[in-house]
Amino acid sequence: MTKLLVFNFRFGAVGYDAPTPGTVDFDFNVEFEFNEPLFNVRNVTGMRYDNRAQQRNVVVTSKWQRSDTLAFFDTEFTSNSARVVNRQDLHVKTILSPDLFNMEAHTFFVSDSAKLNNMQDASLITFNRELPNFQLVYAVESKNIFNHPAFNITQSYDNFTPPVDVHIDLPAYSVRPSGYVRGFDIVQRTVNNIRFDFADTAQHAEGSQEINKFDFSIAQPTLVTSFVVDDRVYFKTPAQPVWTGQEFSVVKSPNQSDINARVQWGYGANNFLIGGVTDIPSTPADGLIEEPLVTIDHINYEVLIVVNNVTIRAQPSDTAIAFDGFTVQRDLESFAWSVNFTVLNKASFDLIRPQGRTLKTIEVDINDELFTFVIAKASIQRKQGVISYRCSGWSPIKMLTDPYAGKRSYRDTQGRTAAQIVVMELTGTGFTSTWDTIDWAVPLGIHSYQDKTPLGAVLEVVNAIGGVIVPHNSDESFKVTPYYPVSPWQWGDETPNRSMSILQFFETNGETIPKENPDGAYIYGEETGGVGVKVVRNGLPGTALLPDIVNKYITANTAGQERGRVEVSKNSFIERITMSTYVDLNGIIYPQELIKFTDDGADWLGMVLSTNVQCAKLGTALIQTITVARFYDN
Amino acid sequence: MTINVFNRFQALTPKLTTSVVEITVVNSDGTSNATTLAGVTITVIGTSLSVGDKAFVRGGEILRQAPDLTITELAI
Repeated sequence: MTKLLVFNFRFGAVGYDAPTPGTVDFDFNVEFEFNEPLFNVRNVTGMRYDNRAQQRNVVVTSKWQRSDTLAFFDTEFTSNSARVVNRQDLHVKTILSPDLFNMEAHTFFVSDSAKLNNMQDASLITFNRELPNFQLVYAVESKNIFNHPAFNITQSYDNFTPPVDVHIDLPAYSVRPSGYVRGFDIVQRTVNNIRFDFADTAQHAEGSQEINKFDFSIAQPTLVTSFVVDDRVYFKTPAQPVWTGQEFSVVKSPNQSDINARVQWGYGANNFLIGGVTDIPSTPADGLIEEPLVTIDHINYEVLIVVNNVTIRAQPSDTAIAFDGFTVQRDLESFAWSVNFTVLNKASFDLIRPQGRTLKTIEVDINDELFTFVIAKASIQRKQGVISYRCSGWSPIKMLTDPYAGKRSYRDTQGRTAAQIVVMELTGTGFTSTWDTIDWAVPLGIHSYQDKTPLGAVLEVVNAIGGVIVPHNSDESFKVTPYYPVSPWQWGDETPNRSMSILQFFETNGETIPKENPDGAYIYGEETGGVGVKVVRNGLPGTALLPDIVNKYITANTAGQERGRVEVSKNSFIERITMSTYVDLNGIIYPQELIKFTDDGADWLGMVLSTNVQCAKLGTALIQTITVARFYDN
Repeated sequence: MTINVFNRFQALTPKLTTSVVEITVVNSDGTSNATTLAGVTITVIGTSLSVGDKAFVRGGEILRQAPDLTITELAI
């Protein structure tokens, strides 16, 4: 609102055509002409005013005493005009009467305006006298003044004209003279002030028409980006939010991670949350723990503390990737593991994202169990100011499938066993296989196909006997095994891979579709040279038959028998139970593991069909969700 | 029921199974009588095969002649 314009006016009387100080007394006036009405004028020493407030003109009158060698006064002019917003809005013209030489007028503004930005901000220039035929030409107006020529001054002498001094105030900015400066010397240059004085004190002849030009530019101040205190380098950065590395859903509140909990008597460990702390020391003093009111009989529980070691590393550089969490999963019918994870920063994202034809490989290490993945999908999401990077990948075996691998049509030129066919199909791919199921002879002419990828051709053979492809976790190899290595009705004769209590799982979901179990099936070859097999579950009549199964690779009784066994198994009454637990010392539970579950005294056996390992909070919690097949006989 | 999500999705579309039959009578109405491997008599569309031939049948229609294979019964 109110703007201050402060003049610091100083004059002396030494010079040409001036009253000699100390010899003459005289009055003089200084007249200020403003472009806007004034509100107030104050702080003038030894002066009086003819008019002041609400006027555009102020005339200051003073007397020069012969004893004075120097006189000065300070003046503040205040305007409350609505048009005066910044200091450049208030312009002044100074007229001194009578003419004095060597008078030095320091003029500057004090304002609450914005900082020096425009050419107008540098336009406050005063001269030591009124000059006829004087032009001030701005070279660059209303532009950013930094590193631009500021202005030119042209002065023509058509009279006996004393030198002119130019004094420019540029608060807080350094001045860099440039170009041609004629007749002027830079007599003062500080960080915020430059003064050009005309060095030649000789008069110019009337009509000499000499023109002085000069220009200068203003250097942009160097920004201080860092400073050192006690050998520590501090970097100046704009105030801005700092990414904490933690992602929160827009609609979900963040989970509380640090919880103080007191372990209660009884099965209190069940209530002990991940990330929790207890204030009870491991060897509590007597009386610290209150005894329970009643005696609790329970089994000797153990509390296991599992510290997970989880890393994702870009290959082949073995560079650690900053990630937030991941999911690694495979089901029995999938020939590849898949991974999904969130990357925390762009540097890590750039290391592993697909670039052109190049797909990057990563290694996921889950408690020393290595998984290799090829990253084929990468996405960036920018939502409400939060950037998240997501990547997806599969086991390298995915590269043998459409669309990553080419297709071909082929007819084998010799008879081979099924395992030999797979080896032949993998030739040149870099992959190797282990045949871990029934092998049989496939006569010449059977192995023939149209437009299949290498893995597509392999699956034709593997599916013929109800086999599945089990990829190696980290190598470029796989194993061919039966879907059910052991028929469900024979699980009881097997030694399970592991035993677990149903209480180890914090979530269990069952999906039951009751039905009668089949007890047999016909498996029939498709071509001459094939075989026909009727499989019947041992000891059963073989009357509850599955639909016929026809396949061209059924060229041996063992192949037909194996296919029939798997089909009868898969079509039996299998309850699928999804169960979640933590990854503990016994590691990840893999598909096809046979597990003996103890369930409140009633034990049962189940085979794992799928595994899903979820890592949250950088490995603080490692949860695995498995789907288990539980078989019910008739 | 399959465990794989993609396979479950594919299973939503009914797929015709192929059965193996032996032609017993070739009818004049464009159909044939046949016996399945399990011994059930059915009528199928098509008269392209002769009595005693094995045939692949899909959707109640003769697909093509099947090889005459000996059935071996095996326990599982």
